[in-house]
Amino acid sequence: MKNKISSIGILGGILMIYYIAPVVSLLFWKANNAMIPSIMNEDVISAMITSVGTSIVSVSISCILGIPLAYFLSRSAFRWKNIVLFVVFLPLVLPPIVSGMVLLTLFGPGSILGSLAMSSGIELTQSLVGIILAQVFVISPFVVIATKVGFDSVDEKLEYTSRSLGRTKIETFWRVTLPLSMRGIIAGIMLAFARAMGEFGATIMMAYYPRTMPTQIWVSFITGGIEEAFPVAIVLLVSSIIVILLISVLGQEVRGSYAPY
Amino acid sequence: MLHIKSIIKSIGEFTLGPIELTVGNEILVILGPSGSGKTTLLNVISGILNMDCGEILIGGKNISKEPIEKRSTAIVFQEDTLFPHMTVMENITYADVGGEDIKKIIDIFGIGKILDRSIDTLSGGEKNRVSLARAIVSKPEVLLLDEPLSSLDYPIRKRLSIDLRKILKQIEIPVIYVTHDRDIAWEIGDKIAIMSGGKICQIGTSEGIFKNPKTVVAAEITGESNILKMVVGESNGDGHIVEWGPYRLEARISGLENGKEVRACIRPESIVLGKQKKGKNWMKGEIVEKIFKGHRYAVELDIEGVKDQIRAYASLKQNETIKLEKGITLGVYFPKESIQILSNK
Repeated sequence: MKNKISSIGILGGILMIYYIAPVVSLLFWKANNAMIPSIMNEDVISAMITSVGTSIVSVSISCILGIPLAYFLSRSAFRWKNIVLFVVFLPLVLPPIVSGMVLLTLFGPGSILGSLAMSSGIELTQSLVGIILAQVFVISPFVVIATKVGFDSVDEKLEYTSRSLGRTKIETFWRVTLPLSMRGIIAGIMLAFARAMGEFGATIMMAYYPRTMPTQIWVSFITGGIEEAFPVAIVLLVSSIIVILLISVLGQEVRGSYAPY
Repeated sequence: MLHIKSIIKSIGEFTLGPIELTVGNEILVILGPSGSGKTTLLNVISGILNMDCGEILIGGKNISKEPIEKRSTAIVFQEDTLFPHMTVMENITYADVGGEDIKKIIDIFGIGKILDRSIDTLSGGEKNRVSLARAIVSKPEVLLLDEPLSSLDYPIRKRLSIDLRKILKQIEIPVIYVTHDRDIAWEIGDKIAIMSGGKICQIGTSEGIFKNPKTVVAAEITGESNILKMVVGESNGDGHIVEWGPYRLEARISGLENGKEVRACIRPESIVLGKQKKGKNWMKGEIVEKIFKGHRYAVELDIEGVKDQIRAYASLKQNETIKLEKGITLGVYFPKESIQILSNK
């Protein structure tokens, strides 16, 4: 038994090293004081603000639209449920660059929606709106799927009990279902946020400007090679880790004392 | 008062009902085997399942179309459904109905010392007490209990069932308690309803049903029973003669058609064992098995002239006086009143 556990530990350990090694390598690879001006560069700071800002908005939109859909999918049984699930998975199976292309056909300058928005003074591409449209398309399935798993894990009998004690469906959702699904919801938010921060393919198709961090890394790489791209990558990595840690801590706060869940 | 009028609910090939039931301020135990529709009935009453047709009235008000939260029918499930992210006290006050009864109910259930504990630190018995207290605190007009004690070990279940009856008698509302455990049913119920195949096949007191079961299910679920195929013979004034193989037995039954094939129930406890082997309702039986049951013995007997094997009980004293041993032959007597004819349905 002990030997089996040791083997599992070794295999898992190899994978953990494979995850951590490139990150550590990135942090220490030619890290020196000369990097600081590159990091403090106006374009890099602007890209960081754009990435963090649009990611927060995109995750929020994904939650507002995705959590009700996840609840519906978890609690309903209907004929076309698998087709709806397939649609939710669709953005995950499309290569991001293809996602950007399909979004351009819908929101691009030549499209009906794009033209309508343009006539109202709203640019759906080459704008913050464009970045958010791309990010929501790519990241919202993470929220829907992880949240659905969270809702699935809550025994419906708890909800029936709550309602038989006089609480309405909405009260039951807020007081029982949501707190007990919080682990899934937080996991979904973390995955979505990480994906939004790193989103490149769809975003660059929808909005080359304003630049997000991945776009800035790409631009730095093609203009100055890896030496130029390297400091921006570190900023992206550190800012992503900080935000994900913040979400994690906030999530723990929200879950409060629901330790087992 | 709870009135259930002609409710029917179909789920796949299973159909519940039609069910007619009236429950006053009493404890009605629905006793039936797994799959008989007991839980489905509770789910329909509580509104978890919509019925196909029929009516449910509580205190004269038709609640058939009300959502779960408007029915005032608190339900306690077999599984632990305490809210795990809340303390015991938060669970108990979840219904938010207020009132001074909460302290009293906490005292009755003896859970005053665990109010601040989280749910995952409670034992099975404590969880059951809290679940029941929470349901009663919500001041329901009808209390629905779906085998809430079945997950407990026997001694705890026994003790809690005694306490529970006392508490349920105090709240004076209609209580429906669903179980497949006859001991719990005897312990808790004022009345017993036997359920089988989605229908209630008999309703009455526990003693009444035990002594006079109407169906095979009622006979088997309320106690050990010998179910024997017999043929009704002629009337003999005091009852009927029933034929069982070569035996013509006197039975205190009436209104049966001569020559009709019937199934009869004879409880092992009403069968008399003795040395006599001939006479009315006496026959000869050979012991093929003897099982120690604590306060008595159960003996399996091959009866001369029939294929059926029957079970009878013998007291510990009888075991010494008759010397009950495997292979010995002794007299077996069916008292007239012990032969109960069951419905063929």
